[in-house]
Amino acid sequence: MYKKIVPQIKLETYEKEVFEIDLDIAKKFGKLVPVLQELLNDDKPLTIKTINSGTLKKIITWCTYHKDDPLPPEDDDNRMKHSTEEVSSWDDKFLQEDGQAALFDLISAAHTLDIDGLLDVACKVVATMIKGKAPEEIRKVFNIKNDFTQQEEDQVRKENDWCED
Amino acid sequence: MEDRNEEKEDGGFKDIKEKDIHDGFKDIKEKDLCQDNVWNDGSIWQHMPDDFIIHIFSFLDCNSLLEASKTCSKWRRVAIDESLWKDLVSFKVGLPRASLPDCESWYKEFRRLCMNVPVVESEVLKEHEDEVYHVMFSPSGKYFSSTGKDGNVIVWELGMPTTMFTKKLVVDLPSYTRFSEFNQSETKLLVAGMDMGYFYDGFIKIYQFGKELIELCLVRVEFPNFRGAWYDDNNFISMGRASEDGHGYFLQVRTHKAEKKICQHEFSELLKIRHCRHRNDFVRIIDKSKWPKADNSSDCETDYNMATCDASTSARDCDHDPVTKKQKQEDNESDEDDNENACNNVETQDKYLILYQTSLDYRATLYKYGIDYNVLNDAESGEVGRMFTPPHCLYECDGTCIGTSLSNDHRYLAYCVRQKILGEGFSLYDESIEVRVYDLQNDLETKEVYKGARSVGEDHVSYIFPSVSKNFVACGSENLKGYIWDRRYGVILSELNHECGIHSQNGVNATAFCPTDQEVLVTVADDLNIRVWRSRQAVYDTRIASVIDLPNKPYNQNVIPPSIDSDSDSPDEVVMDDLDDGKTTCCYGLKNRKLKAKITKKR
Repeated sequence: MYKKIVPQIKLETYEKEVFEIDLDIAKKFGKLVPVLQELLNDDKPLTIKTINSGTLKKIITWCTYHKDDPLPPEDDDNRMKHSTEEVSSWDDKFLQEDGQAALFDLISAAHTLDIDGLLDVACKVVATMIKGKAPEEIRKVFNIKNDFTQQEEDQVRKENDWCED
Repeated sequence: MEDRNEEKEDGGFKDIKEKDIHDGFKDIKEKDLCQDNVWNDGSIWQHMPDDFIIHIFSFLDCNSLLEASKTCSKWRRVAIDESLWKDLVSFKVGLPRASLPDCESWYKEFRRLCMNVPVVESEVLKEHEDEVYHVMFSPSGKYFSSTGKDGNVIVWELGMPTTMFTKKLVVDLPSYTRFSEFNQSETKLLVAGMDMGYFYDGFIKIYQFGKELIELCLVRVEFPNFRGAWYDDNNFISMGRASEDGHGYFLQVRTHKAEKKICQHEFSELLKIRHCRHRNDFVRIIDKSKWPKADNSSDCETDYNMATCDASTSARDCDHDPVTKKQKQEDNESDEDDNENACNNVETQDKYLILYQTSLDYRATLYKYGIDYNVLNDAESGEVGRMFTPPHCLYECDGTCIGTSLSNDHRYLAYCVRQKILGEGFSLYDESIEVRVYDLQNDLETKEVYKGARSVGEDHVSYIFPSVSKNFVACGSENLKGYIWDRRYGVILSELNHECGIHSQNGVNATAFCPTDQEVLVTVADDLNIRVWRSRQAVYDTRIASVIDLPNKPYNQNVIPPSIDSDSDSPDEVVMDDLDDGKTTCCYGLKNRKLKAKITKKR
């Protein structure tokens, strides 16, 4: 075994496929940060059964694309500000091109690996799909089953029958 | 789900590997991720962990969140998550989450900020023939009275729509009326003004209130800016010069029947006031018995819940308000007393007097005086005594106070201040108008300063009367606008436009919240108009069906401001049009087309 120029860590996916990930990219995975050093020294890959290969590939692509982005502000109060920021067209296309299932996988994986930037932008894409739609349209888009009884539905409509200016 | 915060730096490699990553995600994996049937069902979005949904929902605006909550039971449950609504409130009022006060339900709080603020212009009342200076509600909230440059006092009956109840020419032009106030039992109306034909002196007139206003007395006030006030149901406060040579002045408590004053108090130590250019003397009587009861006064700061909103909504009909009823009974009783013993029946409840004074060096001060009841009770003898205890300074600044008002429960005193900018050899007034609020019950100035209102002219001061209610503060501005703030957050909730393009320097001169329903606000302005503003909830509740059913009716020509670049809007023509229009014009102007659309949709 020879020394690599770029330090890498190894992750094994649900399909038992092993990925070698540059340390720069791996640093974006909040969950792995505390154990990065150990992973670097360990030749055995870290198995993450809950992430499939397709998703991990996308995550690596996304992280590589956004490698040089400035760090998002830590302040929790800025969270609402994000909602007014547009999702970049690259992100929008990248996150939606494989369909909703893949998008959901990405959200789950981003949550598992604690990749804040990806989690935010992916959730924002989903939020965009909800915005400006009537309940019936939302159900259609996300294939949500209306599990309200008639009584409950009336109740919900009544409760939330107001809006912001 | 896993908690990110639990992770420790020194956590062992094995632990992380085995526990956090695997266990934390087990649920999803087994239930959702790898089972194709779930994917095909598409209900993954419906059954994903709450954390995920909350994260997605955190990027939604209020209206989208409400729509999302109507899709399924899970989303409904998650959509009322308090953290989401706290974020929305924080964003709406522009304050960081950490500095928001406690709140029982942020969902209800957000709803209140959207629906229970009087920002929808519902009526435009055109009856005054010149600038309108002041407006004030009667204690029951049933009437309000307006005064202005045309010398009239007009009493309006609040309703749907609001109508003119009576109109009376108090003085002939160019004299004017500047202030009016009902007594507690709404049997008498005090009107103050300036009589230009009588050595530029002020006057106070007392009218018996009814369909016809019957003049009961006229008191000349040698201080033109003094407005007077009701002391109690029968007696009012007037002012006079203390001696022939003009030094000092006195305040007196008197009835309309008593020729001689019942009691008076000399302010000889403040004689400089005679020579001050802007001698804006406001006097208010604080009735401590109106304060919120001690046991719930502490709640007042936190009870932003729906129960409160509901209460204020149901209180809209003042006849159902038990407090008002009780007061009315008391007032009726005191009326009977009045008939038997008119002159000397001075109520001796706990009261304070708030007096505003400026000194020669432009030092403005609001004083609170206690009242010496021994002196009042000895008043039968007609002796002149010192009825006030030594003053307590509430507020002091370099500048001037241009208007004051009390909340309906006498707990809050609002005052508009213009600071003086002193420089080398000159002194000017700051153009910004600050509104401040003093909590009289807890005897402290509230920390918020309500900013945004502007005035014109650095050497010129106009009166502008603010208004304060439990949740709101309102004030006019000399830029055709009024503003409404949230009292606790201190942020502007909305602008109230009085645009008409007639005058170049329009001021909104006074605002008044209905004492029994803070979701009704009245504003008066130099554009001759009185505007009634109601909350979106109130408009929604009453459905104001006439507007929606009459699409061909001019939408609201009085509300739509004339375009600025239009060259045909000769001021005189516009005025004539308005007057030709005849009597009171009431319009249900729904500026908010979104709301209109929503109502229509619902129907």
